Amino acid sequence: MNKIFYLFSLLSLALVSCQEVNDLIIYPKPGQNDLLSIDTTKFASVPAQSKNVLIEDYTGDRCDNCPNAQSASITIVNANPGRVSVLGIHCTGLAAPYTGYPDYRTANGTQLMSYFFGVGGPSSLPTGAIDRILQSFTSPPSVATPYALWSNYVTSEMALTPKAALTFNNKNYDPSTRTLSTSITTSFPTTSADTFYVSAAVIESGFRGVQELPTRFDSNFVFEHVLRKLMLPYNGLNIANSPIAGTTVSAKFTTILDPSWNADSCKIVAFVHHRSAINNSVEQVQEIPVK
Amino acid sequence: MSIRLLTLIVILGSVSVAKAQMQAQSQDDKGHLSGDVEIDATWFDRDTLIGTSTTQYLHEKSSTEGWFTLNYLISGWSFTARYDMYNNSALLDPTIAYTGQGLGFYQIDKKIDKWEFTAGDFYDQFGSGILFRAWQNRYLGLDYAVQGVRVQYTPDDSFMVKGFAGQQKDRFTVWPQVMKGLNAEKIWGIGNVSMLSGVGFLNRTLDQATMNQLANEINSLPYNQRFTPMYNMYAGTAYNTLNYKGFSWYNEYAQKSREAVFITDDNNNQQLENLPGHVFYTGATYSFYGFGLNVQYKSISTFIMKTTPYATILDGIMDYLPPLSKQETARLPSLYSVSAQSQGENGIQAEVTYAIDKRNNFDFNVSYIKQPDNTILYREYYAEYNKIISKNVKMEMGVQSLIYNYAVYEGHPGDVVHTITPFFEMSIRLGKPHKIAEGTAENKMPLQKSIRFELQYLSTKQDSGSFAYALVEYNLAPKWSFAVSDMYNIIPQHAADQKLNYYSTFISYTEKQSRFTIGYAKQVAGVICTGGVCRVEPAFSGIRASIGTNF
Repeated sequence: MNKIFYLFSLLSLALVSCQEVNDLIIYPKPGQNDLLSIDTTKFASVPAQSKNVLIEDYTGDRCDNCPNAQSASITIVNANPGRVSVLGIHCTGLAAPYTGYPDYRTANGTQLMSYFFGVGGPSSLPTGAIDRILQSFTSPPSVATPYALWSNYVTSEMALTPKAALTFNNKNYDPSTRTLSTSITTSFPTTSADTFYVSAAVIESGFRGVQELPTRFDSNFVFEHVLRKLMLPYNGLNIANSPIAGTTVSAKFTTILDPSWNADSCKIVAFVHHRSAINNSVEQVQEIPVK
Repeated sequence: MSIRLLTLIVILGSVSVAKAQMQAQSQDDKGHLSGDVEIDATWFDRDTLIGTSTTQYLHEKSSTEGWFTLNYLISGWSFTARYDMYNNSALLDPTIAYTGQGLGFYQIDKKIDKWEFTAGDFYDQFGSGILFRAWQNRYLGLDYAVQGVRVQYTPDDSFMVKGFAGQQKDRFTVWPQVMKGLNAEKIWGIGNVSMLSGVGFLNRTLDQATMNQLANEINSLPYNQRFTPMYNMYAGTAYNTLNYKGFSWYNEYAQKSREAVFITDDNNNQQLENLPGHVFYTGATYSFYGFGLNVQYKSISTFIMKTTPYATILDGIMDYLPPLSKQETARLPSLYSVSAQSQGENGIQAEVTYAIDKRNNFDFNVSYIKQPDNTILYREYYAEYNKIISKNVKMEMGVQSLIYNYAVYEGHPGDVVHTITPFFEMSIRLGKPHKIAEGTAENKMPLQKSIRFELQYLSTKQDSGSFAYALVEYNLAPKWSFAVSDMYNIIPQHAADQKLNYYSTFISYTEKQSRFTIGYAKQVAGVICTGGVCRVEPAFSGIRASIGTNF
């Protein structure tokens, strides 16, 4: 009888000693907590601009349909030169890294995903947001927009008149330290009762990695517009409350590029937007190459 | 064909197969069929003064719950099925109207020599239940049955080992997480000292969807608070009961591995953390002629045993942590009842009973429970005197003094409550005890009349203020019972508040194994506890009726 008792105890200990593998958690790298801040330097007012459009492409390297969404965004960007910016936000377990390959997810990108879709993320990938406008065809209304509809919504957004104009001032990149800095200047051509926020990110295009496709794994897949760094606050720095016409505000942007990123293929994307429970829409977006 | 219907067919098919097998063995063994039925109905009568505002008062206006259990035993086989029904029920969650019905419990059990095999749903526990307990309390809407398989081996009366694997029930489905456990117990001794020693082991594995949800939430935490959550939680326990003459001493230590748990802070915010947990529990009892002593100590450190960290409040609990408070039944002394805090507490309880003679006895209880940071959770001083005045008259009186951490136990801000509650009860049998001749038919038996009074006064300057309570109960045993009571908010906490009455009436009628009750009640909002498990309930106003029988 005692043998059964001891066997039982040994079995319990053996089970406890088993190791687990869990690569879902993203641990930050140095410099990942860079903050936007108000820049008190006075810059010239930004002239009124045509409306540009932001596409946020929630994607993953283990999502076999996601390359179709990337293709859709490339087509839209090429059809509207200088008018469309894309953030390819790798997120959820469908963006877990393959062995030997880097994790394309970012901590702040995941926070942004949680902000729009809850901690569980979107119900499926790929999905996207066009200027973060709420879509009434989802219930409850959500920013989630299927990639097949992106082109239509981009066209209608470009027809609007933006309440803000955006530009970059004093952009500087030091290759020796890989330090990138700029000022993001926003002007308001008309008086508005709204509250405005600015967000900024670094994206990289043209690098290769493993991507799941419907029938196979492509280890030479070219990733475009991948969000490498989303500056904090991840949901925007407050820059203006009820601005009067002619108000100009700047935000300071400083970060260090990760050594694994190719600075030649990186861009800064900045956008002015709203932030509330019912309206997070983007007023204007601009991008600029790092080099 | 639904899974539930398929399950029922499988059970019925198994019954047929078993019966056919048994018929081959014994033409006389027809087995034994038993069961019970209970149907509860509630009509909600909105009373804005006491704050009845849940959905049933506004929309549904009534609710019904029903349970119908059948057990069939034949030659070592046991078949159990229970049909559950909830119509607009506030039982499981007082804030919603839940509707659902179906097979709430099914089980096939077979004993073969020293082995017992169970498939389907089962209730069970390891030792005291600190590590694992699958149980139910239908009046709190709780059902922690495990759905799976279980094997028990009992080679002799002194040794038992059992194991199971399955998923915890979640109403009419199961939680996606998997659990498995092993438990062994041995009875042994040295001279006059006898021991019951046991060990238990439990493993719970998270499903991928829950892990993804956890990972996304952890990835949203500040960098220095992130951790890698574990799919598997392992927990073990060792316990021993020592008995020597009138002395009994129980010890148990349980430890669980590190896992993601939600910790509630002082502002009632929840924070995800990666923590192990443990419990140490010891209790000694000693009885000698009219003297009885029961002393318990318990220390809990983040021993949160849930199927998933996302199970809320009383959902998905896999164990049972006994409270260190006296289980009160009287209305006002039980108004501030407590349950053990799995997040952490240290407590001690001592109860002394002393009978001077057959007519006079005393009961004293002290409980003191605090958080690991020494914040007081609960303190009780309790004294009770019972006297048999004559063959027909019994009297009970006493006083209770409490300190109750309202914010922790009720889950929302509030001052620590201090109460003093004197209470008095008297039971008077009217007329001489009836001598019933053997063989008298039940409907011919004379009814024994009795009357019972309760008077209580709860004095406090916190929460809703002071209450007075009175109850008169008239019984015609064993068939009828009538009661009226009122709980009167005699000194509200705020002078401007109305002095509200929470009155109730109650009638019950018993006929053989069947009982029918109906009553109109107004009930103050607060914690409702049964067996040390508590739930915060909104105020109630309305009619409750129930009918139950067993056969």
